[in-house]
Amino acid sequence: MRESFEMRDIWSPKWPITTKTPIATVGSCFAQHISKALQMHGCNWINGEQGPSGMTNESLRAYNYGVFSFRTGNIYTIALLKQWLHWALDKEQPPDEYWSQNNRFYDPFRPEIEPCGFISTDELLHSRQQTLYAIRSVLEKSNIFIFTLGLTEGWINADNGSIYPYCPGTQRGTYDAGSHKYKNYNYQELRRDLLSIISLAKSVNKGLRFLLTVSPVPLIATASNQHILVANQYSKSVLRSVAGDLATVRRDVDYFPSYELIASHPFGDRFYDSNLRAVTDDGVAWVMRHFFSALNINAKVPVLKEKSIKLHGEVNKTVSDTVCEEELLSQFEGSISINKEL
Amino acid sequence: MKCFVLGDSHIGALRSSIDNFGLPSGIEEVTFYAGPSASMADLAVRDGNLIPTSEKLSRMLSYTSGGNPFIDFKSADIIVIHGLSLSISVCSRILDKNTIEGGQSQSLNYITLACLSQAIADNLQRRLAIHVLKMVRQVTNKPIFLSQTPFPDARINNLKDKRWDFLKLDYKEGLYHAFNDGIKITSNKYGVKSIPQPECTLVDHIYTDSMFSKDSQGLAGGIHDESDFGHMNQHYGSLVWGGIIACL
Repeated sequence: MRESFEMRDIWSPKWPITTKTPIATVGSCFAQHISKALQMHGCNWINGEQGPSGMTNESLRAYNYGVFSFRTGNIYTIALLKQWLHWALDKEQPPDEYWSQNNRFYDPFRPEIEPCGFISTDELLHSRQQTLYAIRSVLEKSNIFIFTLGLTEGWINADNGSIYPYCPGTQRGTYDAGSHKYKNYNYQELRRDLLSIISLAKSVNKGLRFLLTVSPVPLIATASNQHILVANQYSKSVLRSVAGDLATVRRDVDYFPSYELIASHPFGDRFYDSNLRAVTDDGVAWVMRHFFSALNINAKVPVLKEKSIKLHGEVNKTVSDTVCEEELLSQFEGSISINKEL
Repeated sequence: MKCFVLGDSHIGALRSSIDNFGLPSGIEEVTFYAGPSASMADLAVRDGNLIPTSEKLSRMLSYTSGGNPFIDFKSADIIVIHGLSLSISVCSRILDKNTIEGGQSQSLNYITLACLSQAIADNLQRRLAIHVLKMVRQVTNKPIFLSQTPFPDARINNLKDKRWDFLKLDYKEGLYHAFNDGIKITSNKYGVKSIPQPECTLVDHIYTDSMFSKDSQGLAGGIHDESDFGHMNQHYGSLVWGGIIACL
């Protein structure tokens, strides 16, 4: 078993990345760990939307400041990031849609961004506009854009094609079977959208390079009518394939194996919490240790002690407080058929 | 009912109100414990009392209370903490890089009113009023009321002091509500009541009417300079007392 933990050179970076390299991070909830680790290591992590001076870390987190390079919340699907870039670069206008609940207003495209929603649609729109400014600014300032791919399954508005971060009605908004359509993106669509993202981003920053990862966090639910095991395997496999293919054929794309470092068979479930979904702090540290050591950046994150690891044994199974909207699905009581058996 | 008032130079308004108009209804005795500027930071908890750790504060506590060199809360029924930098000035640092007005320059980061309120509450944690509040809570469970430093007279903008530039925004009503909500978040955190500045003293949401800054008195009883746009007079103090009584 020790051999699993003696893996070396699991990632050979295509380009040098130093603590001075401007890096942006977005993606699914696992991407938050990358943002945090980059900050902890004194890397030049681009924070496009800084929270107000003097706010506590707890408050900043509650308002989603410092979680990603801009305040979109988690971006689970490739198509959702493409949509944000289209809006930020004025290729399209966001639809005139908002959700309301108890006299508060919620942005359908980042429903959890403010803990209590917005007081008005004007406030919602001003806040979103700020994020669109930030996206453009982050693209301009970054050298490396780290995008953690999370899901292939998404929800779209059938009337205007806009893409939601999660199924309307699960936490905010109201599900409408006529307007809200499920979509499971296939390889060709994912590849097309990812190439589109690269092209859009490079239209404002020619030298930008992309580091893709796949989240090792399994699906919590699927609307694919497949068993969750099958749906999860499909999703991760296709995302992994697309990322790998682009990293193979493009010099400006690299792949970092977060997924393999957590979810591969040699590690069993040891990097997962008891719910077999959330990645433990030790798991995150394990991934980031490989990331930073490959870059020769001095690792300050906790390092796994091999002696403490036993087959099927408990490591430190504490889990960081990432902001994960997909977890909200566990509260979902459905009028929609979502298979969440495990 | 016996009331202790802990504060800074702004208690001059509350004291001159009593000197001019008598004790507020329902209050039989008021004892002031105050030091100018940030001198109340020299208080410390000892043997169930708040004691001064500097000679200067010791003298001020004796002077303002009429002879008590330290604060023993046994005889108090309620405690009012007034001023001590519980002030709208807390927004200066926040609105230096942020704005609550949409469609503004991209150099300022737009934030929501709720976010501003939370930022105000977080920043108030470092203000002297909260430092004193925490110490008072260590020695007594008696009711505490938080009363803010008055909003400045609008003429403060004439001073061309950059620290007050944030007051020039158009969305003053938003700033007013965010500030009050920030104080409420703080009050709720410590289980105390907050007393907002009486609405009838306000002009344009975030300024105190000039009539209340005329002939304001300091701790030692002297009249403040005409260019003092922060301290308020006995009429203002009387209205604040009205707010305190209404909360009882």
